[in-house]
Parts: sequence; C-alpha cells; structure tokens
Amino acid sequence: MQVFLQTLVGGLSLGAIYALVAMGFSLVYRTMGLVNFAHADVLMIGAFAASTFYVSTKLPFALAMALAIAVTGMIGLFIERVLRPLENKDFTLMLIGTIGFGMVLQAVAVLIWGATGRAVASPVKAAPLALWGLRIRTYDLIVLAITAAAVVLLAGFLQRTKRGAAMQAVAMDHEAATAVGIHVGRSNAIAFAIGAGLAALAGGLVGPLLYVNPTMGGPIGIKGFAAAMMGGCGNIPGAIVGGLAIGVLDSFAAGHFQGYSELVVFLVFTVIIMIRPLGLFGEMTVSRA
Amino acid sequence: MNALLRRRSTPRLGGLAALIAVVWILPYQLGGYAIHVVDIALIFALLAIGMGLAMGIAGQINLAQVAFFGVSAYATAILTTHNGFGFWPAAALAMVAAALVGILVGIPALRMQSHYLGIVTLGLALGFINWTTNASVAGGAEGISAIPVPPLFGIDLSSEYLYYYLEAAVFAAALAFGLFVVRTGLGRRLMAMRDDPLSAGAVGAEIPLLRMTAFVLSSVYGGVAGVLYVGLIRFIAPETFNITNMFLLLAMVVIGGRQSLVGCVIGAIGLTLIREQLVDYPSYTQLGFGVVVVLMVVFAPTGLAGIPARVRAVVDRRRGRAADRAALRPFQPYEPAARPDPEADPVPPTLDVRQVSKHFRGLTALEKVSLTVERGEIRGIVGPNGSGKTTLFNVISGFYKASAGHVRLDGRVISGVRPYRLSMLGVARTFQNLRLFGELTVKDNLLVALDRTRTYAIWRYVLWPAGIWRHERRLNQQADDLLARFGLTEFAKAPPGSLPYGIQRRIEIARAMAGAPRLVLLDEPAAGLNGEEVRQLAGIVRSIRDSGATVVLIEHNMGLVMSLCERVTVLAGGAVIAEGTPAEVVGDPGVIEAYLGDSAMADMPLPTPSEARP
Amino acid sequence: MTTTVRTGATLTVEDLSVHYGGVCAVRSIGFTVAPGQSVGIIGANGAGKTSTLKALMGLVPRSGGRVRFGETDLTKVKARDVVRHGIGYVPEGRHVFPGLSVEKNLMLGAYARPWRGAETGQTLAEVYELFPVLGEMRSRLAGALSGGQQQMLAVGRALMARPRLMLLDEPSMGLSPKLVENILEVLLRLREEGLSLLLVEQNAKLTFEATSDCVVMENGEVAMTGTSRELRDDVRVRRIYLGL
Repeated sequence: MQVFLQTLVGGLSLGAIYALVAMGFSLVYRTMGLVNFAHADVLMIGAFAASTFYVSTKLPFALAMALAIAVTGMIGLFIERVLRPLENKDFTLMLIGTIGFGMVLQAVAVLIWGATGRAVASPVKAAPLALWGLRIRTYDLIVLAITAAAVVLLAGFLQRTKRGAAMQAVAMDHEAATAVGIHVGRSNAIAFAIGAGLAALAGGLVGPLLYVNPTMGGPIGIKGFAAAMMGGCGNIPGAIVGGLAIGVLDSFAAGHFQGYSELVVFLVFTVIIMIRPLGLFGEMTVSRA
Repeated sequence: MNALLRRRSTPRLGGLAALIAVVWILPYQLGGYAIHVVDIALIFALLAIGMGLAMGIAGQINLAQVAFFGVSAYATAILTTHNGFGFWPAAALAMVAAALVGILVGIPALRMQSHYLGIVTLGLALGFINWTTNASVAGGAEGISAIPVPPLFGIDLSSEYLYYYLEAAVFAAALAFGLFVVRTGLGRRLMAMRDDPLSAGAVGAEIPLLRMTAFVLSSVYGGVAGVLYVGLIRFIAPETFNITNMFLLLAMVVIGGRQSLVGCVIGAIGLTLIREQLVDYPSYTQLGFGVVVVLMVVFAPTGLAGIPARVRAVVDRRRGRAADRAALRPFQPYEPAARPDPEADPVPPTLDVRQVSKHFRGLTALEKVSLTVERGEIRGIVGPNGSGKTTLFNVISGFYKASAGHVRLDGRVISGVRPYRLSMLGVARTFQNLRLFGELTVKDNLLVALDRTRTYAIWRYVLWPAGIWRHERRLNQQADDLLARFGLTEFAKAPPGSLPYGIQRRIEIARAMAGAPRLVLLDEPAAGLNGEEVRQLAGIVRSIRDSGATVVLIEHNMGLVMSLCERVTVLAGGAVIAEGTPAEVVGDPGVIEAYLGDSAMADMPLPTPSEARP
Repeated sequence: MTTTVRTGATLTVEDLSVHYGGVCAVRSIGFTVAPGQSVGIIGANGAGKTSTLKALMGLVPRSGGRVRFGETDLTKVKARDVVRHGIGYVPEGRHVFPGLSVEKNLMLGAYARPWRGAETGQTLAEVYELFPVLGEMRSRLAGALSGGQQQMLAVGRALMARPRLMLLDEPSMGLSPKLVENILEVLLRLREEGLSLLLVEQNAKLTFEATSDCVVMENGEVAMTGTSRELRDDVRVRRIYLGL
C-alpha cells in the first residue's frame, strides 16, 4: 500500500506537467481546431530559456519563468501568423507546418545552447516532506500548486472575460462571431500565445525534474498530446485529468516495467483511445460544418 | 500493345534508356564515401515511397514509418546473430514481421483519422524506440553488430559498389510496383478515399480494407528498406530509428511532394545528399529543412513535384488558352431497354420505403415516411427547406441508419446496408454539394466508379499483375465510352474543380451511371444550372430511365419537376403530406401552405398553364 | 419600453452581385431601406436571398455593386466592423453559440461596446423584457434551448449592439406558427421605435404582415417589387414561389 501511494504521489508532479502541456494543446485545438505538433518544442525552448535566465543571469526563479513565458508567447504569435492562411482550410497541412516549426525550434535550441543538455537544480532547497509515511518533495508540491493556479487563471480568463468568451465563440461559430464584431484572426493569435505560454510554464517547471536537452520535447510532448486526446481533444478539464492519469500511469509502469515504461504507456493509451476515440469526456473543437 | 503502353511515345523510352545508362555507370564515377551516401539515399527513398503511398496517395497519417523500418532491421539482425539464420531467410521473416506490425498499426486507422491517427502512430513509434533501447535481445543502446554479409551467388556484397547494384535493382522494382499500384485501380481507390471518403464509399470503395492496405504497403516498403539497411551497414543501433529521423522523413516527403511517388524519391535523395554535404553543420541543415517545410506548406503544398504543374497553369492563364477551348459535346442517349410489362411480368417495386423514421438527438428528421417507386418510374421528391429530403436519401443510400421502418430494393431489404455494398447492388447517387474527387482527373473519377471489383481482389497485384493490366484496358475503354456518351471527352484530363459548375454536375451524373445502376438518386441535380443546362439535364434523366433504371430526384425547380417526373412526393416537416402527379400536387392546398405558409393564400386561384413558364 | 428612438440611416443597395463556387447567386439587385422602414425579401429556395444578406454583412465576397448605409460605403468595411456601423444580423439557422450560456450569448452581442458601462446593462434588461423566456433561462446553455427560444436569443443578441438596421434571415424556419406570431409581435414593436428591418423569408405570410414593402427575388434577380399589401393579392407571386 505504501509503495502504491508513493508511486501515485510520484506520478502526480510529472502528471501536472503533462496536464499543463495537454491544456495548452487543447486550448489551441478547441479555439482554432489546430493540432500543434510544435507545442512540445515550444516547451523545450521555454525550459532552456527559463534555465538560462535562472542559472546564467541569476534571476529569481519566478522572474526567470515570467520572462521565458513572454519569449515563448511571442514565438507562438509568430507561428500563428505564418500559418494563418491555412486556418479553417487545410488541417493536414497545418499539422505538417507545425512539425516543420518544431524542427526549426529544435535546431535553434542546439545552435544557441548546444546539443548536450543541462541539469537544472531545484530552486527549492528544503528537504522533502514526510506525510503519512510518504516522501513528498517540496518542489513537486510547488509544481502542483503552480499548475493549479494556472488552471484557475485560465478558467477565469475563459469564463469571465470578454476576450475569453470571444475566443470560445470563435471556435463555436466563426461566422456568427464575425457578425458580432469579433476579430477572428486576433482571437486565434491570442489563443496560440496562451497555449505557448502554458507550454513554456510547463517547460520552466520541468527543468528541475528532468534533464533539459533539445530533444526533450519528444517524449513529453507526445505524452502531453496523448493526455489531451484521452481527456478529449479541446476539453480542458479532460486535459487535466488525462495529464494526471498519464503521469500516474507512467509512474506505475516505471515501477513495474522499468525501462519499458514508455512502451507500456503507449500501448495502454492506444487501447483506451480505440475504445473511446473521442476521449473520455468527448472532443470539443471548432465546428467544421 | 495495349493502350497504356501506347501512350508512351518513343522519347520517353529513350529517356528511360538514358537513365538506366546513368544508373549503371554511376559507381564508376564516385569515390568510396560518395557511393555510401548514394546507398543510404536509396534506402531513404524506399522509406519515402512507403510514406508517400500511405500519406500522399491514401491520405493516412503515418508517423510510424521509422518503426516499420526498425522492426524489419532489428528482426533481420536478431535472427542472423542470435538465432543463426541465413541472411535471406531472416530477411524474409523480417518482412513478414514488418507487414504484421503494419497491420497492427493500421487497426487504429479504422477508428480514427487525421491528427488522432498521427498521435497514435507517433506514440507507437515511440513505444518501439523504447523497446529497442531496453531489450537485451536488441542489444540496448549499443545495438547489434557483426551482422553477416548477405550472400548472393558469390558476389561480395560487403563492397558498397556492388551493394549499390543490388539496391538499384530492388529500388527500381519497388518504384515500378509503386507506380503500378498508383496508376491502376487500387491506387485510384486509395486516392478517391483520400479526396472524399464518403463518395468513395458510395461508388464501391471499401474504406476499412483500403486503410489497412495503405498501412501494409507502407510497412512493406519500410521492411524492404530495413533489410537493405542491415545488409549495408551490418550494424544497427536505436539512434537510426528515432523521432528526429521520422520527422526528417516527413520533411523529405513534404518537400518532394507527397502525392507523387517520384516526388517523394526526389525529396529523399535530395535531402540525403544535402545532409551529407552539410554533415559538419547538422543543426543548420535541420533548421533549413524545417524552414523549407513551413514555406512549402504555406506556398507550395504540392511540393517540388507539383511545381511543373503550377508553372504550366500560370503560363496557360497568361496565354488564356486551353481550358476555354474544350467544349461540352452533346449527350448521346442510351439505347432504350425494353419496358417490362407490369401485367405480364410482375416485379416488385424498385424502391419501397416503409414507415421510415429518423431521429437525431432531440430532433425528428423523418416521421413514418413511406413511398413506393415502381420500376422505370421517374419520381420527384419536393418540399420546403428542412423537410427531410436529403435525410431520406441518406437513409436510402445507406449513410444513415433508420431509427424505425425499412427500405427495400427490388423486394430485398437493404436497411442498414453500407454504401459500398449498396453500390454493388445497383444503387447510385449524386450529392447536393457536388462530391467529386478533386485531385483526380475527370476520367479517373469515372474509372473509380467503373471498377466493380471487390477490394479483396487486390491479391492480384502480387500474384497476377497481368490480370490487373487487362482489367485496366477494359476499364479505360469503358471510361472512354462513358465520357463520349456524356459529351465529356475533351475534359478527360482536367481536374474537375477547374471546370464550370454545369459540367461538374454532368460529371457527377456520369459517375453515378458508371456502375449501370438500377436505382439512381439525384440530389438537387438542377441547383445552380441555367435554363439551357436544365433542359439538357431533363433529356439526360429521361434517357437514363429509358435505359432501364429507376430515377428518384430531389428538386426545388418545380418547372423541371412538372415536366420530368411522373409522380411527385411532397415532404414537409419530415412527413409525407402529398403524393400524386405534378399537377395534382401543385394544386393541393396543403402543399401550397407548406411552401407559402398561409392557408389564406391557398384559396387564391392557381395560375393557368398559359401563365406558367415554358 | 423605455428606449431612445434610434436615429436611422438609409440603406441603399445598387447593382449588387454575388458569385461563389462558380455560380452566380445574385445578379445586379438593388433596393433601399429608409430609416424606420421594414422591407421584406421573399422568393423560392435558391433565389439568392441569403446570399444577399451575407453580402451586405461582408460574409461573402461581393463582385460588383454599391452598398451605402447612411454616409458609409459598406463595401469598404470589413465584415467584423459592420456591426459597429449600426447593423445587426440574425443569421439563418440561428447560429447561437451553443456551448455558452444565454446571458453570455447576449453579452457577446454587445462585444463591440464596453461591457462594463451602464448602457450595456440597461440594454440587457431591455432584451430580457422583450423576451421574458430568455430571462428565465439566462444561465442555461444556448445549445439546450428549443428552436424557438434560440431564435429569440439570436434576435436578442443582435439587438444588444443597439443597431439602427436589423437583417434577419428566415427567422421562421422550423418554428411553429405560434412562435412565428411571437417573433412577428417583437418585430412590430421594434418597428415602432424606429428600427429599420430587412427581413428575408420563405414564409410569405409572415413577411407581408411584418413589412411595408417587399422585393420578390427569383434566380438571383429582382422579379417584382411593391407594397406588401399589393403583393399579397398578386397571383404572380405564387407563380414565382412555386418556380413555375
């Protein structure tokens, strides 16, 4: 039982990271119908940027993160602008276009920061907490707390602000949205920037948990996408559940299957998604009438 | 020789001979490292062809190609080093393994498409990579080395020059087979599925089987590449089969032009050569490739292979030629078939709809609709917007399952039968919003519908290609006849999207008639047509009926309905509110109310025939 | 109702044509809507009525013609800015935002205006007064409403921008006669306040009762015009409707 709980808890913090990735991915999917395969590489840039600001320029962690988010947000705006002619027209091409951007980002990362990665020390020096016989790292709690805060902020933005409502309206009916005065292109750009910001946040947080290197986007990204799919593409609460589930699944698989954990995770994922192709909570995206 | 080969003029044969000469002499011109690069390039070209077949031709997102490559390579390596198999037996088993994995990866394609399929295939590829780095039998991160040289009649294949000839021969055969598939029935069906799965199903394409076939083809090419790779390098490690290479392969296919196999080959060879030239600057190379992919996607989605066609289109536009000159020829009526005497030889009605209801969540689209269409009748179905006409067609043609009631075709119950089977049973339809196969030529659109073979007959591709060839000749002849009958001969090579609306409508009808159907469903065939075109349409429909088919058409153009249909059924609010001859129906107060929304207006006198439009 | 009388402007359409998908949907039509006037466009299915409205809103490209609303040349205004010039649009098939609440839908109608001001709050109250049902269902998701309720929501949403001219596309489609009566009542009330209406409909009866003048379209062109009273008694209208 002890081991079970410890594995569960251990999977939650990485699960929170996957949840952030899935949220950003789902947000863009839900508002623009765009599948952004560059999402994970944006995360990687965020991780490098945050660690650079934190380690090299010795800024406080929070400020380093904020700067990293700003930088990647702009990258997101740029990607959206370039791919805008394809919006609402050819989704396969947009998908391939984002893969191209992903390649560019990886190459840029190697050119700026080198091919070998770096380890980022945890910004929290306190010893792990001991609760009910479980060891819980303080940093993991911070990751969960920040993720929860991001969820609350995102939900607040979408539900309570004019721009957030407009963003959702554009996804549901972009013609009616235009008729009430909403600038569809700008709304999409903001959605994309927020998505990129969430990826950067995930990247900044994941630095101390994993090794930061240019190819880190791959496994994290694909698991994040799988999490989004499992929860239902575009479904934000589903993304959170999916992320945590994949994190916990990953943790258990690592415990039982050691190195084969990824193979197990993806086989389980494939089976789940075959049973419910639209995810556990159903897909939410633009209506492509 | 048959028509297909006759198309190739002597210059093409000459070009082929020159190419063969170049390929033969090439190794003599290159140094040791260069020939190694060429060997690698050919392997990537094989992988690219496989991806092109799955993604470009069949429209299936396949991001697991690198896994198929790896499965075959690892299988060969393990069987030779661990189990003592000879190289070629091991290779054969490895190919089987790759094909089996192809089927496995193809199963999700039956349930999902597009980005979902992309993520699942990518995930499975990642799973495979995970296995290679962990399994002891796979040698973990160190891989497997000391793989034996493939034996070949005493030729020393450890020489990369001689290996080149082996690869060239295999590659030529593989490319030829790929082109053979693309240019014949299977390829056409895959492309039709890519362009419009719905109407592909309606003309007889079995979508699930075709999707599996696409993945199996892709995995077989991956398998061949894997075997050749192992024989060349005789050492494998996980890095070769990673996600970066998967995306590099995708870049090759996108830049070369995924819808053209030759384009894929050019992309693969080109990018491999560039990568080798810039081997000291791998990141700049990747950066460059990524930028080119993005630019291609936005500005040249058809890739390098599509550039000649685009240049030609621009030149044609500048000169203002070609498309305007082709003219629609008149329709040649069908031979009238003997009209069966209903007394002497009673047959069941062609279409019998009994109490069909269709409910969607919270909405009743059809409510106990019944109608009976006798053989050889022309029936019109009319009604205001939203009355359920197209829903009824969708139920009859198998796209929707009725919530209640059944549909009979010539007495046989067909409720719930899938569209492709209905197409085989003789039901054909056109669509309200034209569903032609946009990337195929007009002639290819007809060829897809003319092909009545069942999908499982694709075994002939491997075991009896001559049969395919003969079938192609027959189909081409039938297509030419069909084009001539509908006056479309001059448009045979054009993509339908570039043609005027009226001609596209006629193409859709020709495609529907390709299978010699007994029931033809036309959904608003006159929409968007001018007066003259409507007149021609009426003539075509009458001739279709005269040839022995039964026609049911949905129309808003009451003038057409009046002059063409023998009986008319009126739908409103999902139910039948009137049925009879056109004259009876137009005078029915219920019908007038449904259309105009006012019972008071129903009391007004009907316009006399002299007031009606000619 | 305690609203200000809206200062109107004249909508002038001249020689408007619409081409898309290789088809000419509208060919050189022209008509005017004076301030406070209500004009109907009727015709059989496929006559080009919806394309006309969409062209006015800029949602489909116009190929030729002049459209002026008051002093503004609408052909130069982007689709998303048309509402800012005082034109509200109720699309065919309602097109409410199904995943958002009724109140959120209405607030989005006022997107072009500040949300926090007293004016928007007051407009919202007025819309709830016009359509009490919406007030009762203000926190329900728009997708869960019945057809008639969604139609009211679509009209209410367009009213939130305090337009001077309302374009309505087949508001009666799929609705029972009783609901159609309701809509009719609301439209007549608004007419009294000076709101101009351009109503596209298949339901000729509703149109003749709600409008003072009508344009009859056939095959993308204007076939007849006249006052609603005249056209109501004209046999040729029925001929055009039935496409004979």
